[in-house]
Amino acid sequence: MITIEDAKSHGLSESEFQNILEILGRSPNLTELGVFSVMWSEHCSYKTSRIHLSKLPTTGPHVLIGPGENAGAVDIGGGKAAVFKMESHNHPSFIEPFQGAATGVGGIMRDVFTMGARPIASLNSLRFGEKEHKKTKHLVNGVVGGIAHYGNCMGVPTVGGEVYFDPSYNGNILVNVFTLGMCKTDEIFKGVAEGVGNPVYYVGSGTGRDGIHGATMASETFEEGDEEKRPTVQVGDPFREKLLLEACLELMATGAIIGIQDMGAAGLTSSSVEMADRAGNGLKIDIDAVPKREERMTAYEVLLSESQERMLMVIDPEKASEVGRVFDKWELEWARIGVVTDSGHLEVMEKGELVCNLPIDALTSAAPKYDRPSKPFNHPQRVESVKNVPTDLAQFLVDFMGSPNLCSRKNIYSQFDFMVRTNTLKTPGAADAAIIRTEVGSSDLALAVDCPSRKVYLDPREGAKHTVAECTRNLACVNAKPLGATDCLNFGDPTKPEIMWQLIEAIEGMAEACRILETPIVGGNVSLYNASDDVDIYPTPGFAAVGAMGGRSISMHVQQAGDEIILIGRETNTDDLGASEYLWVREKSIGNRLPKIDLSEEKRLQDCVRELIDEELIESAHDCSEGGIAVALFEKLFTTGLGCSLSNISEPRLDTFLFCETPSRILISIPHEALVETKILVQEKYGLSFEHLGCVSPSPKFKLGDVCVEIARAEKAWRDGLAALI
Amino acid sequence: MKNAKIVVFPGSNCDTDCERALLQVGFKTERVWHRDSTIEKCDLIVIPGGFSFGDYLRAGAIAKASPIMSEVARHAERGTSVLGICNGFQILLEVGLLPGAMTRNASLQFICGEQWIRHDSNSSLALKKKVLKVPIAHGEGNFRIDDDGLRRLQDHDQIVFRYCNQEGVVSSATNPNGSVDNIAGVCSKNRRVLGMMPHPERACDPKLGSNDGADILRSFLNNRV
Amino acid sequence: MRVRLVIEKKKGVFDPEAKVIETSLLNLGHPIENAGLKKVIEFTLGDMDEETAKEKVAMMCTQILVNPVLEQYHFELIK
Repeated sequence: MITIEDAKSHGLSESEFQNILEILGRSPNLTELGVFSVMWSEHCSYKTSRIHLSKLPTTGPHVLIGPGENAGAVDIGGGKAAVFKMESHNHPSFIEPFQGAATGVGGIMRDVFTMGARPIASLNSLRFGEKEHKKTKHLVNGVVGGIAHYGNCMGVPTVGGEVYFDPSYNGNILVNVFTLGMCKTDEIFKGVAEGVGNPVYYVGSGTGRDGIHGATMASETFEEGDEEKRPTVQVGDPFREKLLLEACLELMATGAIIGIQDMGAAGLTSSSVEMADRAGNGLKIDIDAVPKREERMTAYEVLLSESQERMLMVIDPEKASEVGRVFDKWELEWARIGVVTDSGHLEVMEKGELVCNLPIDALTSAAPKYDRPSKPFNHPQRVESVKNVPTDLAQFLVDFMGSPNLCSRKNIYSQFDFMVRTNTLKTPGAADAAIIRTEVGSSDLALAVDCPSRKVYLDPREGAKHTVAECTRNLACVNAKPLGATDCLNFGDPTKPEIMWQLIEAIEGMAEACRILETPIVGGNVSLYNASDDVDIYPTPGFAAVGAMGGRSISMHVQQAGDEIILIGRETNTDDLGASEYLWVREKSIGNRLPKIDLSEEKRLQDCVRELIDEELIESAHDCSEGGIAVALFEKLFTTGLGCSLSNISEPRLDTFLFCETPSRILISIPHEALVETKILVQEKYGLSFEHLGCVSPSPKFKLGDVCVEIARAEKAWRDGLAALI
Repeated sequence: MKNAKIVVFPGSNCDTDCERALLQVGFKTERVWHRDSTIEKCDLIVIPGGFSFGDYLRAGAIAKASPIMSEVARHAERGTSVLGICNGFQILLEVGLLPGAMTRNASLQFICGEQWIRHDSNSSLALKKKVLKVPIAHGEGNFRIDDDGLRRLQDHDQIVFRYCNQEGVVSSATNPNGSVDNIAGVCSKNRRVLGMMPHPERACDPKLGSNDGADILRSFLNNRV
Repeated sequence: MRVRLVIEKKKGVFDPEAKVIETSLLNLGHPIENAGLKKVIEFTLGDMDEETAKEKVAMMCTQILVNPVLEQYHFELIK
């Protein structure tokens, strides 16, 4: 007899258990309770976030498939679609960084190729604790190694990403991975169990006991000693996934597949329930037919296992023989394990007995939805200014460039194969966004991912706008226009009203920015309960945007001596230090006020820079964000052998001018002859500020009044910034 | 038209890139599956990069057991050119068509990036330049061979490429993975078989940073290694 | 004292490498099953009593050598 204690040990609340009893009119058995617990988990049901997620704009002229499928899709012209999504694998990566990150990559790739799209590019967004924390080094190396292991073996280039270090992630790191694939617009596959009587097939690796309760684990917070929750971690096999990819695409081409879905979190349970739900059908599954890796596995274990590299398919009975032909060739397991029914139930048979019989809608639409209470976060008053200019500003500039959040990420991205497929037109570190060549007739694509989480923490609504603005600004800097985006909302414990408030504010801010910046969200992921020992992470609503390239692209680096250096957008305000890297490095404070972003001004800026690139007026463009003008400028100079002379600056406080983080600014370089025309366009047509800072100089020095920094010194500090970690 | 066959193993992932590059320089291409037991008459056999069989056991080791490899050996004996790139090079070492072995990079990390290599063999590829820009991407590219073996390679002019800097200087500072004598590519004594860690197929388009790889592939149209 | 330490995957943890080795041996006509891969680490430990040696090796395993998420170990002391 199942008791409330059993339900609680499965992560269900008392009221949820009562709800189950009422829906069924009886007590569930253990297998059924397991199925409920994973389907009603935060991870599968989005029970906390669902009512708020509906506020996000999800439609647009290019959107083919919005949220709800395995991944979203946008039209990229030429009859082709880009299919993409970002997903988190935070908790597994904290417990076992290498395998956690690796299986995260595997999962997101399956989400993409299950739609019929061959993966062509990946990104990642990582958050670790502070550099000095005892676990950080181990976690960074494990996560980076795991992503490299899986992505490289799959032959999918990892073309970009972002990494930040902050104490709020000391006990709960974030590993968010993004994959984009491409297919024909009229050959997108969906996870639907259509056609009563059609056979259901299982393909891929055998099922083991690994990952049981992964989905419920992802919905619990960590406590000290939880690293011992070990046996739940799955091992990824990128080789088998590569075979699965080729086999699935080959089988798709035969026309045998009616519906297909990857077995990700909650494995066989969620894939069969979701496929049945989308088609309004039922599914009958025979546990004995499921290929298994271990002996004496129960129905409960098989249903909840999160073994990797598996797919569920509904097959056209006339072409069923193709399944064996293709999967035998690729030496993968396959089995016919069930049939589509009109019962509207998930029926599971084990040794001839019905061991689970649950209405599909009880597991999906009847899953709880919570409107959890929220209340504003009460920030203490903090230091919000820096008392004095660093005594040795030149030395400070060098050290600043070598600080963990600003230094080069080359030690990380050089472990990723970013060139395989020979389509990476802008490699990591070369421009504000990665650029991927697609095919003749279709747009080349620019990809960027962003989340300034310190800003979101200080002001979730404004910070989320900053997130969207920075990400789409990165696209604009290479002359791309957004087609769509995916989010990955990482937050703390939502049963705390302040965390719930962060989530709601961030979603609303993101929605507003997406609307004005014309970037619909076509898919995404929510990861809650990112907390350890009662410390919640900074709210981190990761945002990855995909843009269509205009005709010409440019680099972020300055191109030649004599060019003018101009800052366009909003006029620099030296008081904009809230949540800035400078305030953090100098005062270990995040300040009290986040600069508000004016989204219509931001839109004008992005349109303006695209026009400047198209009109061939500018040579380079680089977003001016973390670390302010100084950092953007150094990054523009590194690897070029050139320097700069900032002769037009007459500020009383050079430090705050160089380091403040006024939003909506882009640092460009232009030939001297283009000065007048550019100025007119920026100021008059777009109504933006035009700050002429100085010019590119042939000698590799950063010169500003009495301050002179050898570029090579700063570049060395920047390049070696992560050397102690990786 | 010259004919190139591309051998595909489970886990190969540079097969498409190689095919595109070979077509571009003027080959006719066809893929052959690792379970096939014959390769028809052709001018060049390419074993592309990737992770054949996941690189489990040892990189390239399990590919050795595939039926196609004895056919590749037979072709090599008869004079067909064979080019192994990255994992393809590792496979050629494992089957013994080339001397030496690969171990993990000295850094113990996978490394991906631009790389300069120097064409060091006299009677080899018809290349216009001596110093070429051809990217690398590998975790096990640390070429090992004993002293006698190294001497034999040197004596027979079998060291085709060495890692260098942009100026063509070969030194420990320009060695990305710890390879003996900065070796990036070697050929067989009869010069029919060439193995190299850098990826020429990734350097066939100035938009991607280099066109030097196209010269390497093109030289198989006319000359043997 | 010589230490011979064997590290292997925990029971039930998937071992992709062993699976591939097993398949390729089967393909070559060797009818084997249950392939497993283990790491053997050997080293010499200075003179000490057996209990101390066991404690020391166990500490090495937890500190660095063994990933307790995925692996288990056993060892023997050879005089």
